[in-house]
Amino acid sequence: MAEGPLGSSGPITVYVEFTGQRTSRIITMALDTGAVLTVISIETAVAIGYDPAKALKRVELVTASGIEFVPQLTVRAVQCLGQTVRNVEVVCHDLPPQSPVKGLLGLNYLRHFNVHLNFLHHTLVLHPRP
Amino acid sequence: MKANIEQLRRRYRREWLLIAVEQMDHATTTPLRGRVLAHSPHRDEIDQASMKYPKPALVVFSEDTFPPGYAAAFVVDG
Repeated sequence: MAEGPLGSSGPITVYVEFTGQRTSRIITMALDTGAVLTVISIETAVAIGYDPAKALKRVELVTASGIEFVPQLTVRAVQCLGQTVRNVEVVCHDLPPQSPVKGLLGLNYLRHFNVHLNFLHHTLVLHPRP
Repeated sequence: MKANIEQLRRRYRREWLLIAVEQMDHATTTPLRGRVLAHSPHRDEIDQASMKYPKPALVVFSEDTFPPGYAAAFVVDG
């Protein structure tokens, strides 16, 4: 079990570490149960050692400015609250500049755990699945 | 400047930060202390600096909230 703080306002944000072929980046992300896939910025993907321009797979993403085909990559490891998941699919897309977070931690990471959002005690708990 | 990460986030209000992490709580994936490599109110400038920096680092905005008057809904259907 891993536990972290849950803010009382704004998006649910967590520190997440992405490890790639070159190095790693820790970024703040919004925990997003409405996102099937995890979304990271293009910069984050490049910084850790991937080239989104050469991604073999692209997915359609509906944004405020229209439909975009964005790169999908497999990142070596993703860690949140000390819980590591390896070979995680991520979509590379820059959130709007007003966003205080660098990405969305989506269901393809969260489904590895039982996620408990305890708003009463302001805690986020990840229980690894048996 | 090496300092507590949360203190750094308060010091550089409404700025983006690139921080070399020097102390980490691995049990909770929480950066504790670090050294500011770059800071700017413009995310693009920090993105450029991050892409050139070859070592592990933290990229973070000073706050976790949207500016007043903004709200967001993020849905990604793969």
